[in-house]
Amino acid sequence: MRRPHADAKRRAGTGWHCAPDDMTRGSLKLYDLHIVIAEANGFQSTLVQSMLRGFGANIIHETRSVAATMHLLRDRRIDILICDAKLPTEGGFELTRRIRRDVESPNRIVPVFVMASDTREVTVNAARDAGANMVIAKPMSPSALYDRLSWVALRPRQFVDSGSYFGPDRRFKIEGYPNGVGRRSTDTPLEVADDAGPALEQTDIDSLFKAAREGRD
Amino acid sequence: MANAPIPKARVFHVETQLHMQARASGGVSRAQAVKAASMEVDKLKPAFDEWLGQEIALLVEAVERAKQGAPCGDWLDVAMIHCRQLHDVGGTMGCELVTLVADLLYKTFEGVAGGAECRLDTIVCYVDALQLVSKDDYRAIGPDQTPDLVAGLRKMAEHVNGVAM
Repeated sequence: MRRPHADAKRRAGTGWHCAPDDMTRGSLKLYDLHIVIAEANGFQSTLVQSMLRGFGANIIHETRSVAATMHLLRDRRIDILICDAKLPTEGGFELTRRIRRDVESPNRIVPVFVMASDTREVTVNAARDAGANMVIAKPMSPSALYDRLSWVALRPRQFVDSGSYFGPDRRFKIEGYPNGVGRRSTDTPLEVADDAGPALEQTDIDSLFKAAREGRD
Repeated sequence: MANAPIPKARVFHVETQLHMQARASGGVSRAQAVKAASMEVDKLKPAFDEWLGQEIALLVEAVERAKQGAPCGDWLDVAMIHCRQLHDVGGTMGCELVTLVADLLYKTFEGVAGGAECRLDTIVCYVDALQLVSKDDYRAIGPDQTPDLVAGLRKMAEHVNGVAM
């Protein structure tokens, strides 16, 4: 779990790639969307449900385990899944993986938000690699939840099916690759320019990456 | 030997109901939504009082089993569940100190689960602190208002876990 008091604002929510300014634009319309909260802690589930109702949601289902969630998802199409990383018994990451892997499922591309008490980098990476759209740090605030929902709603990402991974494009933060240079066939071939100035010190590079990880500009 | 060809990833656009509705008119603005949600959360405060008391009682019960010499398997998982729940909910309901103390206690439990020595004196001290900060007088107080308490709890955690907290 993270240190809770040192960074109250950052703690409120963790996307591996967030741009807070963008997340506050636009408005959410959750009315008539089928939302599932998969959380074993009944009070936490009620809290999230209350926040969603405040946002205008009116159809909310609650489940308490991976098995119950999979059972619910077999029977109906849902629009948003908010699950706990430690959902009994296999956990929220495994639940996300199962949903993404199921080629028959009508919910294979559903936006998945994972709530986690522990938002160490290894946990966030695990959520991303499972196919989650966003990680929300607990304890959460209404504004953090709204911002994460807005981010996913207003900034849709492409999906990737690579055989070993099915889910939202995991590269959505690194917008700094010039003209889409990268490893994929659709990316621009890499061309290295002449030096335009002195190289950054490692400490400067580290601070840039740290700021990016923390969602700061 | 030639390398096997790397399979190409299929990259495609998806359009979900959430995305479609986000573009439609009639949504709730951030300010309105957050205000309404905060009011909904406030309505849960009476239930939270009861829940907080129950969770701490269940945590105390688990630690009592440890004090009576029960093996870790009999109490640690239960204690960790209740401790994590206190961490997760406390901050949302305005009890930042509950989240802080539960966080430090959870890390101690994680250490025990990972094979570290079970220091019951430390665990009991954290549980006492949790009981203290869950009282009405402390609920609205943030960690920055109780620097001595926080520093003491952190120092203890660092001593037990051997890493900076």
